[in-house]
Amino acid sequence: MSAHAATLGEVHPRQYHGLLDWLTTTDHKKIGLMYIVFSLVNGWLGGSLAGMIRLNLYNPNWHIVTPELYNQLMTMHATIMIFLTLMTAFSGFGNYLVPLMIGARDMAFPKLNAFAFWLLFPAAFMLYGSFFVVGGAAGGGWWSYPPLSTAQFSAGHGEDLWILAVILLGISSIMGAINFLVTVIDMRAPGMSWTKVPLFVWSWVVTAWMLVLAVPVLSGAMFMLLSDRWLSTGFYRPALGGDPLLYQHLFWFFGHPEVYIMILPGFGMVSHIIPAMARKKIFGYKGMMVALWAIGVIGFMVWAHHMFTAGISAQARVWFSMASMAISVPTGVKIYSWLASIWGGVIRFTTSMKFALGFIFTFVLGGLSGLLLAVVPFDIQVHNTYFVVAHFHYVLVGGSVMTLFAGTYYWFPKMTGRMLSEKLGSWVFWLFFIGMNWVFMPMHILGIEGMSRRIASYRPEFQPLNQFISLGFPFMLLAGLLFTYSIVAALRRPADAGNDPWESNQIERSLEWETSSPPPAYNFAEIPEVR
Amino acid sequence: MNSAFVSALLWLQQSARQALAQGLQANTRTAFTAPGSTVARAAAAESWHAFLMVMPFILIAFVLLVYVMFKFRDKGDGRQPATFHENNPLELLWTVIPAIVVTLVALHSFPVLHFMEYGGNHPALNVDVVGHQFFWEYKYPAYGIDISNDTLVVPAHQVVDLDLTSVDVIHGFFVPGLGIQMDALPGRLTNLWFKADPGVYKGQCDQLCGANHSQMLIDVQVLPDDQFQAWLQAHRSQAGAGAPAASPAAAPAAAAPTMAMPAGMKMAPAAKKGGTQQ
Repeated sequence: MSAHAATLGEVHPRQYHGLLDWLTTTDHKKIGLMYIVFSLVNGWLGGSLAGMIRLNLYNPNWHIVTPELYNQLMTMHATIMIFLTLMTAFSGFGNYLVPLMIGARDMAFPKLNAFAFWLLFPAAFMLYGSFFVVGGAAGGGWWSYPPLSTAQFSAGHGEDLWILAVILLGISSIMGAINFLVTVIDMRAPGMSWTKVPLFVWSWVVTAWMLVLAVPVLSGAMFMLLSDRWLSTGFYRPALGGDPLLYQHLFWFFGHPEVYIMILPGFGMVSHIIPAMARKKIFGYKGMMVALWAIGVIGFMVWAHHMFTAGISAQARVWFSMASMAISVPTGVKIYSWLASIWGGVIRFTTSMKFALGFIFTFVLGGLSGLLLAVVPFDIQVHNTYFVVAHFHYVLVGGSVMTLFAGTYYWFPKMTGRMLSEKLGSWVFWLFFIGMNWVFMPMHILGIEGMSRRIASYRPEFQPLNQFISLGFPFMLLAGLLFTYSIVAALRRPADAGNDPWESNQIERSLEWETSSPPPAYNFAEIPEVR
Repeated sequence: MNSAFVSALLWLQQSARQALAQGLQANTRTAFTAPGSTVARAAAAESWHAFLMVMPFILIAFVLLVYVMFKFRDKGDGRQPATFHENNPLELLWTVIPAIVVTLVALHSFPVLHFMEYGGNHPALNVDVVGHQFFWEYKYPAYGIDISNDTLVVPAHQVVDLDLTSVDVIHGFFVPGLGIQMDALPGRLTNLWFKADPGVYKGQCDQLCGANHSQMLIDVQVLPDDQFQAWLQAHRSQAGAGAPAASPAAAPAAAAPTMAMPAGMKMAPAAKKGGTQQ
């Protein structure tokens, strides 16, 4: 066997060492790790923008930043968190884990994989660099609705750089998604039928399908916007027969599936962590799989619930209200199935399990507010207020970020061969969990009280709650610091985690735990068979 | 058991409402704390209905979450985990029941949506609302009144119909106390109506419209009919005497809409509503 392994090492020759090796690698594991580090760095940068936002909102009269800069900070916070932090983090976990879980030696197109990753850099360079061009970064919100984003009202090149960056990131996502689909369809280990594919892999199949369908629409909308800005076309200009509502339809046709793109892989992760830590098989595997697909299909039929006050017809709102509510049914199936998976188990409260359970709590709240927002008469009362801000932060921070923490604590030993400190992990969890609820829970009330989102200052009656919210931010900051420190500290320890530190394979066989930690370049000396 | 549950939920609703009302200073009204129009009251009632309908499922999830966390933690007594991993009737149950309930929630809200959309028949007053960076212009076509950067004054207990458009970017007309919100888009007309109680209502632009978006406030004053007629008379004579230049702020603004409209497109608010006064 060792001779066999040595031959495999020859098949995957390392042409370079050190930094050059990372720059030229096509190994899915190294690319996955680079995605995750990229995401962490951008999480810090996007998070610090949030810190500046909260500082500015602590007192409506401080005016720490100009209103122009406030709009830029708010726009870039969203763009960085969505495109450079959450999407890349899940791409990282997907890249690292999907080939391992299906018993493959790499992704189907390793070079395309590397290309998709390195495309992130020019995009990030354009986004961060746009702060330094005349007029500053894009300030029209991450929706970038025309006419505000047209040359007439946003003359600076920040908006152009933003559009080009989003197009580049879209190309990167499409290449990654096609790679995932081909890999899972073609390269599963012998015996791994579609009903034996692990749920994290399923979640990435559905995510990839959504990316392939949704992102080209965004790219098209962006090209038309760019064309309106500089080629005098009139796709979105009423004076030339165009319509700003066309942009909103195209954007949200991408924008709503995007929400599921950022949460489904997290669902997949939790579906591995809960059974391992409760020592019991996942409940309702097939129901979970069908629910993923239901979300992936209905998710394309709900986009105009972002436009209930945009002047679309009542009939259209009836449809989008109904479809938006329907999507809560498969989401509920997932929640109840996770709870049933724990039922009768023997729970180990590791950090990853704490984050998984905390995720269920916050995600249920995010689902509740989301369901209410689908009720048109209610939506009209709180549309574009802090209630919506609270809702999507419960979904994206309470959902996506919490599952990413859970996944990091669970798979870090596999990726590095080292355990993260559970003691520090407990601090990370409680600081983050308390901090995130402290910050985002009162935003529901602010929204109900009628405080608009995206405003640089507010009426005096909103000040007490805003101060309270800002005081919660340091908790999340501290959690981030401890988390980053504990990664650095773990990397300085020897690699002694063993193949399966959580004894996951005693509960349910998942192939990534059958190889060493970290896995060799060729993943498996012999491709495992699944019976 | 059921009635205790319902009364607990009602108590929750009551205390939440009181907490909200106390958390607000007197000058802010919303549909939930002090609804000021028929639309706001209908929307608030519908919101509470939806909240109470879905709340049981949320509570069940929370109760189960806390229960399994304590009941099934590893107590170190060597208990073996259960091995079941599917139960078709159970899975069918938690798919079908929520599906029925959300359908009921949606169906229940549609008559309210219909009322909010089409309930404003025979308006007593039509106002054309035009969004500008960064102020609102209110035109009363039947009275030749055109005011900008000022309070929108309307009569109480009568249907007021607003036609909204914009001359530059998209703005959002949002007055929480009246329960109304609608975007004002260039090249399009949107519409909303309300029938309000007397009082002062504050709102603001709710669609990011540029640097001074947060300063684009809305003030609405709802006056009893006699006071409203007096206000009309005062502003009418002003408008008649001074021609368009009477209000310096209004003059450039009044000319602006035609520039934003495509050639050949009628100024529909004036054309449509001009002759419908009572």
